[in-house]
Amino acid sequence: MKSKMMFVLLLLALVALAACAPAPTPAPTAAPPTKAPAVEPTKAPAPTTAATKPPAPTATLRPPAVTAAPGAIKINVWHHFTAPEQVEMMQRFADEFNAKNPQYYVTVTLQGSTADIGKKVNAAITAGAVPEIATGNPGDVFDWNTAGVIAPLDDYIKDPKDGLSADQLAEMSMKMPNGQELFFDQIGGKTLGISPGRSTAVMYYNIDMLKAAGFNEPPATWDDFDKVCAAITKGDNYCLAYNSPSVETSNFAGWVVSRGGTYASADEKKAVFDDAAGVDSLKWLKNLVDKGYAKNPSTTSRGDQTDFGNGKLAFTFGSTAGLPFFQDIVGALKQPFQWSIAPFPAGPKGKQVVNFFGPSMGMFKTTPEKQRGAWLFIKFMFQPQNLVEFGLRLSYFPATKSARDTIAGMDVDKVKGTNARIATVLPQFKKGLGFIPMGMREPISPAWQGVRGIISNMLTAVYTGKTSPDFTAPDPEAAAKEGVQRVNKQLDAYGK
Amino acid sequence: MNRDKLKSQLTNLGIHAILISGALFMVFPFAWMILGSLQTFHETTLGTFLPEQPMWSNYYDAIVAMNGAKPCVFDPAAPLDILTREKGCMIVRYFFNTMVMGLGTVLGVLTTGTLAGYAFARMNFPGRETLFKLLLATMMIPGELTLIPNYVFMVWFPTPESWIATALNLPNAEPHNWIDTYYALIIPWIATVFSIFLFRQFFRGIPNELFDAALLDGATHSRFLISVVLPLSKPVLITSALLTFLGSWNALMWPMLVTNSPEMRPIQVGLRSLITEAGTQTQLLLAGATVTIIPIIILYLFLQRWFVEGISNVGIRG
Repeated sequence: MKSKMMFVLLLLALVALAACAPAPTPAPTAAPPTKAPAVEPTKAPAPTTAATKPPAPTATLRPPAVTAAPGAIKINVWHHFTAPEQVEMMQRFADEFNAKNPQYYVTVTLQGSTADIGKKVNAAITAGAVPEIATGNPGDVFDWNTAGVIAPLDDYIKDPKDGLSADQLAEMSMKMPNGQELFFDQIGGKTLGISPGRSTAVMYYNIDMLKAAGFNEPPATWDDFDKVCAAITKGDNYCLAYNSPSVETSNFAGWVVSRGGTYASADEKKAVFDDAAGVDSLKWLKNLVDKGYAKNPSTTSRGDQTDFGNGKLAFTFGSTAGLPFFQDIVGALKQPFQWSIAPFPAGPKGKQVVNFFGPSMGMFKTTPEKQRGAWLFIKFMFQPQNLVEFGLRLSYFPATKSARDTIAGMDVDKVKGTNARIATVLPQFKKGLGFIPMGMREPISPAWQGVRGIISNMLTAVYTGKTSPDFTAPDPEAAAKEGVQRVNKQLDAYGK
Repeated sequence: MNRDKLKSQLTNLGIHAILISGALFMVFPFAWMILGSLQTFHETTLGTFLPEQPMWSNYYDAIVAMNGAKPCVFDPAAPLDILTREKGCMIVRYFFNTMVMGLGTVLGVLTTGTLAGYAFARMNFPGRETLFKLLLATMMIPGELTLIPNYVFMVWFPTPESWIATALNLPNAEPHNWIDTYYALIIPWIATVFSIFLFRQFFRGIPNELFDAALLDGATHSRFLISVVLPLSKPVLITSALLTFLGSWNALMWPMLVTNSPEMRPIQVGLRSLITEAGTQTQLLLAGATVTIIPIIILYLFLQRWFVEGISNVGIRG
């Protein structure tokens, strides 16, 4: 009994110590940043090497600062912006909105990840208790619309009194090659979702590794990519990590489009990636594996991020939302290296692209008064300074050009005040802002969400060279055909 | 003789080797969690087992991160402020909610389990066996299937106080459903088939002679249950309480579904705030996870004797 008590006391002491002691300063694990540019170059800013420890978020979790006025119409907003500084931002938006609009009372609540919100909204739909607004992936918003609970935003957007101004709409309009608007989720001529900011898949590259192999710039073509791979693959160093998020559905879409191919038919009802560009993309992947340029990463979870961060991997394809996490790893190295981001290389018939994704907001059908209040809150989030803050706190590119320009003009100190983690990757983030005109977007309907697994199986069959019950053709040409066939079968079956 | 002794020693050695391997196998995830909680983010990405230099600050950082990036404050003049978002420490609030949820659920499960278990074990009524089998059959229904119907009930039911206030037409009275209340966290889980089964099995093991003797003394079923059965049932009460408490402690999906405000969320949901869409600071998550299991380890440490006894008595094997 005595030993048990001792053990318990020890544990409690440990917790008390951890909770109440001031944060000890860890011993430095990396050299101080020496290569960060003092002045931001105008075109392609050089990347930073980095701090020793990821900076702690600066915000606070606090209760609402404004209480509801008697009779105020209550608006519930469910969101998935989980980091403390993002929770704080949403609460501040609600407080400011509530102070200016006492006839409404917005309550913002963090509901976990997009998957968690998806489950919760589905339960709420069944119970007839949906919130007024929820955030999610565009596919989620379309799913909710299929259930008949989403209120289209068009009438609100165009409303002469409460709508978005012509200037704001012009600023937000960004047509993708497949005709989609980047910041609006539209289907059948209706706007179902709207996004304050998007992130994009880009190519991360290790500048020092490329320079050591004699390349001063990241590859702009896929041929150049192969040349870099041939030069840098030796010892532990390699070029691309398969069996990782680098080789997945969204990046495959980027590989196809950057080679001048077409991923989906114009009406997005069919997959057509078995064209020359699609086959070339798979051949390229197989070739990298056959030559030993592409390898299985050293860890299973986010292995590409791990190997890239530890200076073994030259390239990885991933979201700009992950920029601070790459910096966390590289910054902790004893000898941090220089890294940056670039658009996907291009094929002879294509052009360089980046592939956009990111969160959307959907407004639910409730009462006209509640819907008006919900729309006004959405509109409030699109005020220029709010979009800038949204972009900086979530590592997303804001929806208007003026907000992006504001960020482009900010220095590290100014950004640090809003989000210290983004400040550590500001050059890369700013560089990413320049990629927006190269943007593409995959089909975002719910039917396409359901076929991602098939495309993933196709990629696995190609890089492993093995058949499986899920996919029978490992040869690139046959794999593209089987992939399209399987995807189209499922797209046809969707909703029937 | 020597040969027999050698054989016995070798057998013992083999058994011990298997048991030690099993123990190591069971301990490994915990060891990994604790060691991971002391690593830098960089070390967690490398899959390193031992930290180069223990980062005790991860515990502080995890608690601060769960508190919205501000240090925890304790004001002895206003001790209850520690449970508030504004002036306190959210991890304490999460623990408090988990304790309320766990203790409330345990109380409910012990009450319903004792009464139902006793009825199925000791009382004769038509259809007893069929009813019990039907009850057991519900254990085959995956919890996920009942999630949405349960949620619907939570939305439909008014809280008792709001129902009374509305019925009495009190000023500012408006119906409030169970969402974001302790009712939703506790009530749906206060009767479980598993506990009823556990109690029934244990009560069936109590000799009939005791019941006959009590009957001769004029005891009713409730008197026999309270005065004879319950004092003999310490192991099953503790086992059931511990299993229920563990279930409550680890609950994630249901509390996530039925709570909206941080003030109502239990520890596992609070821990989830360390995971973001763009990535996770693994070392902080592991530090947070380590802190959350400490109370459970303490509880188990004190109750393990009864726990093992209870499990053995009702013939359940893990």
